[in-house]
Amino acid sequence: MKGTLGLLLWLVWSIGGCVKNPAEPEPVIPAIPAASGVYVLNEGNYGDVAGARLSLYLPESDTVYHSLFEDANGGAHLGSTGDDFALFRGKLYVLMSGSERLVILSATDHHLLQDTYFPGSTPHTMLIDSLRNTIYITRLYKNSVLFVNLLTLQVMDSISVGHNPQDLALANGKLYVCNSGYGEDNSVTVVNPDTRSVVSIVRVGAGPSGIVTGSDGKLWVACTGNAFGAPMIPGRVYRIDSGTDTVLDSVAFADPLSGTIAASSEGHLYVVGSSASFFGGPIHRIAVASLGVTLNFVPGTFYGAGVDDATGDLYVADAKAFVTSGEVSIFAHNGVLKKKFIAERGPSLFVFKR
Amino acid sequence: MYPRHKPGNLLKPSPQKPSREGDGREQRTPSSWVLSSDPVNPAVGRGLFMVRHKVIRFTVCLVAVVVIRTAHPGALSQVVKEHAKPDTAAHHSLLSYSLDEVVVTSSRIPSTAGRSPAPISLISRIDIERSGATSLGDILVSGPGLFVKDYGPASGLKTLSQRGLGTEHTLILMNGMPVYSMQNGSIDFGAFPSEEIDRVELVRGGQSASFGANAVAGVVNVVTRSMRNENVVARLSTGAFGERDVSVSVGNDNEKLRWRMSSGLQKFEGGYPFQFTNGPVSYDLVRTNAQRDAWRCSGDLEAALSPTVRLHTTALYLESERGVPGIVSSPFSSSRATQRDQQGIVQLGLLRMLSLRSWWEAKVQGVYSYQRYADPDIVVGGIPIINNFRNTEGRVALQFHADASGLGRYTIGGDAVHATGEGNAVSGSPLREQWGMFIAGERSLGLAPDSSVVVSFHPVLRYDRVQEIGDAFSPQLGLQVLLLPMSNGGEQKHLLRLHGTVGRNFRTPTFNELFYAGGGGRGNPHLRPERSTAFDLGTGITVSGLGQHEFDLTWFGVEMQDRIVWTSAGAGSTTPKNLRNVVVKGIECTYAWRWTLTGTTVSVSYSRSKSEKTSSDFPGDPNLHTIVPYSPQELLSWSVGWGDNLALGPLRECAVSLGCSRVGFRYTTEDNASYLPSHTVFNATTTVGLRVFGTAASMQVDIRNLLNESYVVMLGYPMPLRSYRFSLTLSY
Repeated sequence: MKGTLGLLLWLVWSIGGCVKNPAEPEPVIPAIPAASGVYVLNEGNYGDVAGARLSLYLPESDTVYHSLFEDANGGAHLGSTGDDFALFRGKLYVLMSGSERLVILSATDHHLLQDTYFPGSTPHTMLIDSLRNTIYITRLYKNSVLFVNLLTLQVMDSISVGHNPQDLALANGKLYVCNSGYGEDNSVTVVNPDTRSVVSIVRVGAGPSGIVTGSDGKLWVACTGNAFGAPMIPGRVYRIDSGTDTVLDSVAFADPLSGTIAASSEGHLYVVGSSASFFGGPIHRIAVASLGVTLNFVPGTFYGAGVDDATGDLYVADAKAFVTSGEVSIFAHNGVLKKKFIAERGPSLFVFKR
Repeated sequence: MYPRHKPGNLLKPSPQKPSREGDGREQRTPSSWVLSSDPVNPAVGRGLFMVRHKVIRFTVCLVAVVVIRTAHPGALSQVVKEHAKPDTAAHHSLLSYSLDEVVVTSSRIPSTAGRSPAPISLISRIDIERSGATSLGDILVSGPGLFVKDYGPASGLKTLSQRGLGTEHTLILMNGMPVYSMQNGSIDFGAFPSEEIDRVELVRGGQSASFGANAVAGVVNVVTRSMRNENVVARLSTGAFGERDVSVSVGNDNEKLRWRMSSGLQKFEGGYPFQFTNGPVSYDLVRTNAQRDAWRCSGDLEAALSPTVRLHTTALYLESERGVPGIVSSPFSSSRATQRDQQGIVQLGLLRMLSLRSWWEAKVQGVYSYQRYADPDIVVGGIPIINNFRNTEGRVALQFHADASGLGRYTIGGDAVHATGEGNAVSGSPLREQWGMFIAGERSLGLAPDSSVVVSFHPVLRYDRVQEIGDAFSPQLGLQVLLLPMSNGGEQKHLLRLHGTVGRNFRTPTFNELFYAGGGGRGNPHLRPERSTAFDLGTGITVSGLGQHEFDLTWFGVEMQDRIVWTSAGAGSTTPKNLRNVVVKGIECTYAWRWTLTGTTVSVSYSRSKSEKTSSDFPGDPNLHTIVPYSPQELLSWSVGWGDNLALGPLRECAVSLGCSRVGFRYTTEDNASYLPSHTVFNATTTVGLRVFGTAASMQVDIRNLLNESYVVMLGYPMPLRSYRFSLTLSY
């Protein structure tokens, strides 16, 4: 009898163990006021379904809200590796490259509205074309761009572009796709979105990875260079005329760049450099009118950058090497630090909510 | 946005790119073998390729099959004793025997497991068969203080973490000779079939003083099988997820010559069910691209060339091709990556008795390994990822042992290694030349006239010189106190045993860490060895009564400096650096009960430890004093087995075994903000033995994950739900 009881106890202990799982606090879901603010997409670690998170910072109240999707959807997660997002007509569109998933949630209460998967696509960045009711999504390792119906989320077409397409822009009725090739490609593919065909290819520097429309109406392409090339190829930023699809001029840098570029409406561009860290570098500023460069406009190691056109403030994200929660710093247009707040793991992108 | 997850950075099997710092995942050195020689029908081309090469390799194996395990006097006498007690479940007797009688080959001074100052655990052939283990990885799940990092069944990689340290910190031996990979510092434990294993010796604690580099957390010594009593053994297995295994062994065993040749095929179709959970929603899914085809051949020969000379040689060849399914991060996660592995090991040893108390032995070993990984879905600059490496290694070892009666026992020896590497993700042609010398001793003192208290000292000192890396002195002092003698069938044993060791250990950087030149990273040729100091202190109790009860409690600690960590190096690159200090402290507790009369065995092992980062990786590092990722703070395994002779007509024996393995929670991030919860898995095995027309037949049914638990060992790699396997073994 004792032996049987002892065995039972032993079995129970073997299942329960002595060291319990860490206690998880009961979630307290705050009521988020409707106010202007900035959404932060925190990438998370690759492969971690619970890693990517959405945060919301409200400058008026200086308050940060984290894990917006989890709190609003019963603990469900966005997925692995959030690589792009956009705010469009009251909805947030979040692209998860690890989970190959597009998630659409309400920007009011952050409830899940729609989602779809693109298995085997390695989706990386997206662009919403309201005119054509189309979402363009780059397929990083498939060297192509998907045309997805904005309403039904059905894939309508796939267009082959260059190697490892990483960013998109619309200008002059054309779609521009940056093909980085991780430094091995130097092309920007120009696509007619109506005929869904390639109309031209613009040659720039090694590793075109980021593209924005500047205050001058031109397209600006940040090329990373090639850190592993022999010899090493430094980064460069190119200005393209979307009317003629030609390179107008460029700005050279001594070191490779990370490929992130942001534009302000008051005539500046901000590019993220690279430094001793894998996870980004300092922020350099380019004056659109003069092409003058201010190196280390914001010194440090930053992973993401964005500009709030309403205030002219520069938001920069420090991913802290993905070993802990990241940090976002807000700088005035003159480079003076205004504020900092803690984000989640791997803050990388900003979307501004009015 | 410059993608952080470049191909070389992906945590899914990434071409020879170690995982991001601190997350505990293994340095995957994937490679693939694009076997398709037929662009129209890749499967046909692959099949033809496999057949053609199997014929060639089987022929080579037949010629090369002569394995000699170098033995020493104590082991030889134990071999005779083991011969008298067949240890396979296919025989009419399933009676277990005390492994304390087995002299371990993982000790420089001939010793039994219960008389070594370091805690040693033995997993016997019976234990292996009763557990239903199919690979070395399955066997080690029950080892005390061992955490098997399992990336999935059959096709999934399996590595080992011992005492909260990395997989590269446990030295792997085969018949006493190191067989770890110079490329990544470890082996895939899932690729080593259990059919080739006679027993496994687990030595806990640093052993660099005896074996040199990499024996930081401990040593795993695999002793390969030889033939006993049977001449022909055939085994067929079939199981869930399309698992099929067939092997044939032939051999003979007499006083002067014992030989065995074996070959086997294994096929696993994958496609196992698992659950993927996202918050409140769970999906029942099937794992794809998880197939594995493996082939092996081996040979073992032990011969007495003269009354004083013994020859032992072993050859083992393993080849496999598998799918690499990758991380599951959605209900539709898919991967078409594949990997091909080849490994060949040949050992030759000679033992010469100089007198009753002294002998010398010489060993020579050659190792070849090749790995190729390909992922057609990862295309960089227009080129799909295909990474490969090839290593060759030659090793010679020589040692001399003398028992100087009252002055103690001593072994002095040395070894030298020449290893080369090549691959498309390493720079240059890596070369490693190293040599080492050691001296080990044992001096026992009886402190009482009746030898009721015996104190023995075990000093060991070793010097290693590693080309272009540096040199290392590794001293170790072991102490053992035996108390309260008791008689056991005429042989004196002690009820109480106190044991302890303290020593310095080191690990040399791998070829990947030194010479990696693939995407997303660069090796660092200026790396220094990792250094550590380790101690353990324990007590063991042996009690007889309703069988034999053996209990051991050990307290241990490891302090490591200059631990190599991959860290950022600018411009989208990472590089390894001697960066980190780690302190591990814990306890290990083992209990074994063997009741020969009733055929009952019970074994329990429990460990609790804390592996803590004690230095900053960079100024302002917020993760100081956090727990190292993927180091469980609690490990528990137990098994209960019963076996008996029945003598009911053709029915000769029956055995039942129930095992349990519990892994405590482990953090998955450096800042300990995320974790994987604990899990408990039960397995059951039933064996029935028959004897018909002079042939012994054994039928075994294994049920894995008896309670159908949905769990993961490594983040993103789900384990299968309940599965079964049926095996039939015929021996003549």
